[in-house]
Amino acid sequence: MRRFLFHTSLFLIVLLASFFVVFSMADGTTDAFYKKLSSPKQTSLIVGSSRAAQGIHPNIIDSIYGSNNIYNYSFTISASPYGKAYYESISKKLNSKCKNGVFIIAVTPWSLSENKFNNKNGMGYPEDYDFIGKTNFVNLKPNIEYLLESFIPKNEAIIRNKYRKGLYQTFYVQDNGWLEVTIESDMISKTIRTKNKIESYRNMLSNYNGFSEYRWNYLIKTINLFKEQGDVYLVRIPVIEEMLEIENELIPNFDERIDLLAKHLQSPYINMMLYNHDYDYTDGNHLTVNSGKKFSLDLANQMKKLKHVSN
Amino acid sequence: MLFNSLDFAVFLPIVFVLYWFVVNKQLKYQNILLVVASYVFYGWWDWRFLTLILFSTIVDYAVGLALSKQENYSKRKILLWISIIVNLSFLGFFKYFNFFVDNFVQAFSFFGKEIQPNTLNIILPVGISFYTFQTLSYTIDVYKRNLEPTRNFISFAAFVSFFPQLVAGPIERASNLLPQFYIKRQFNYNKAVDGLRQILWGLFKKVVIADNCANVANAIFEGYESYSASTLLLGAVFFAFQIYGDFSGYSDIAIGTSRLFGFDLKQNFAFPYFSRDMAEFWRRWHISLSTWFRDYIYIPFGGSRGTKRNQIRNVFIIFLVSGFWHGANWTFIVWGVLNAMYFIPLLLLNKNRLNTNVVAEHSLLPSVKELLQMGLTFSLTVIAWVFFRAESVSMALHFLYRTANSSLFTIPQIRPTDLLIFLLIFITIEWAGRRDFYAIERLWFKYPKPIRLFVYYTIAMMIFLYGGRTQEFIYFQF
Repeated sequence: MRRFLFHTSLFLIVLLASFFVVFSMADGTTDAFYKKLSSPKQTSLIVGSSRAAQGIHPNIIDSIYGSNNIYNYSFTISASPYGKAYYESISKKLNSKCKNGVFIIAVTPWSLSENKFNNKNGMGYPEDYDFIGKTNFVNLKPNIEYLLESFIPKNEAIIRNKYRKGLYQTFYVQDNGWLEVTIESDMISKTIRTKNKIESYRNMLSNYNGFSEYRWNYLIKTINLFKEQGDVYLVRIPVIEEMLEIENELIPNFDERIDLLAKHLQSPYINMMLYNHDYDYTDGNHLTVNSGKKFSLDLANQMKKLKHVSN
Repeated sequence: MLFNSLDFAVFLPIVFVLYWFVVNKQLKYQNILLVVASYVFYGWWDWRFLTLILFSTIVDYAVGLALSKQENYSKRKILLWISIIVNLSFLGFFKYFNFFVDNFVQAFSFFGKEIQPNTLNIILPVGISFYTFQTLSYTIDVYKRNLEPTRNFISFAAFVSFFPQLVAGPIERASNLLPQFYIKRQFNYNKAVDGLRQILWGLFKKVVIADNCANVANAIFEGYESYSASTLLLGAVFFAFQIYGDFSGYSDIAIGTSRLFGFDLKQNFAFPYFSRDMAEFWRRWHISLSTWFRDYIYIPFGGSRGTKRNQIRNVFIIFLVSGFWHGANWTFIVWGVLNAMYFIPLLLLNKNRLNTNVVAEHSLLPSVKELLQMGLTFSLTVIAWVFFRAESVSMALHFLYRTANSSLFTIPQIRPTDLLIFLLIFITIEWAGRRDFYAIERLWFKYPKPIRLFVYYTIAMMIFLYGGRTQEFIYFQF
């Protein structure tokens, strides 16, 4: 028996060590989320959906606004709408010791509305069962919990994806959490993607009930959490007109609601949708890399202006 | 609990340590631990259905005891029928109730009568078909006086619920497994190592072969109307490997796990895709179920004795029941009928026992004749699997119809190169190990230990790297 246990343990140790080595290779190429869930706790955060993940460049915000290593902790509208799961994940990511942080909260009608099938029979919200709700440890590297429980592709993808950086239609999460997406930028590809995106969002609209009290309350909780630790800015990232029309149908008085909330909580609301013609989009919904840079620059300048006014 | 889950990876070592270090002094405690572990294993999925297993256990234990005291033929028969009715009622209700109601309604609507059906939202208890047949074999054997009834309830409960093979077999006979619960198990190094080796191979079959084949097969079957004939053929072949890898992989893990606890289960799959005719295939595929049907249905009906008409009838019965056992759907019944039609010509020509040895037993490669025979048998099997996999009989027919056109000779639209390489490696290993209990049982024994360990390490790494998210075993639904 001893011999069996010794040999088996030895074999298992070598095997587990090999698994660990593979997991340690996971990085920003692994998928669009892993890196964010394996970085250390942060003092300044950008939160929101994929628009923010791709559109807000933390290094530009830092250089213009003067924030200290603001981190992009935005995911997708399905995984990170405002709610319990995202709130708890943000709380775990936040370094609560720091009190001079900067926080950008990207708001869109999608992240504040509820799917018709959400919380049916009190079973919770879809994101509760997604990686954002399932990942308890968000600051571990390698994040074995995420890789075992939520990483959908096969583990060989951890190694394979390392060699695809720079190829078309790939993504890469930078050290500051910014999601760099490489995608065809010719007019035909863009037009097709935009058409498909509008169609899919139009279809998605019928599955939504519109404004959600639940999500709204968690947005307020998130703002309050951040306010304890620094300056908070609510931001609406621009999209093309057709997409805006869909969003206006989803929550008709969205900007007024956010304006009121911003005034009430004394956190500025920067509605960049007003300048949506100034930017270029990959699919009508996400800013291109260059437009993202321009947008981040404009946003940082606005934030800076507001900071001076408040001072 | 799934064999290919983290839960099981934690559960198994805990039970193993408790079994060999804490309760190893007394047989009774070993058996109690196995019952508790088995109930935890099953209850992990849905604890409510433990009552079904417990009830079946109590009924069959009591029937067994009553049979031992009863000499009267009629009363013995009544006791046997009590066991059969109780067990098959559970199975019938959970598995076939809605099927019968739906077909009843359809039959009436065919004649112009509309009936509002009262189907129920029934959850099929995992493994019910397996443990029902296992426990039935006990009462039938006791009734036939082929087996002494047990007076040890714990041993009997452990036999019925033995976790390695509880939910997807192999369906063990009481005469083989039950006596093993009467003897205190002693740890055997070679047996335990062999068990681990078989678990490793089973996991490879399930995680690397079956789950990856499933991804391609599912995509092709779900969108079959838009694929070329060659792609559909590829999908059917992948499904054939999916179901083999899935089910035989489960059996390997079950048998290997049992060996870790000192038990010997019977072989359930003996390299069926190397069969040279359909009769041989059925001697090699899901052996525990085939022999169950043979011993408890086919032979009592007269088997291959009597007139040709009776023989044909018996073959049809056994394959129909086999199809129906797999599920409450006409697709399984057609699958059974098709296999009966494959088998009957061999029976009529007295060629059903031509190939009882291992193919190319004394040579490295098969002869051209053997290769053609294997190819034909595999092709027939693949055709039958299309019915097994399809959602409906009409879908299966449409699928097969679409494979019969000139696009069969074009390059498939889906070409999973990695998977084809895996399959090639897999078939080569299975071929090389076809004379053994399982493919890698003694395959690399002639090489030094470090080389063997490296091979096992490589297999384990492939499981880790190429295994997707945990997928259920197909046979859980049966």
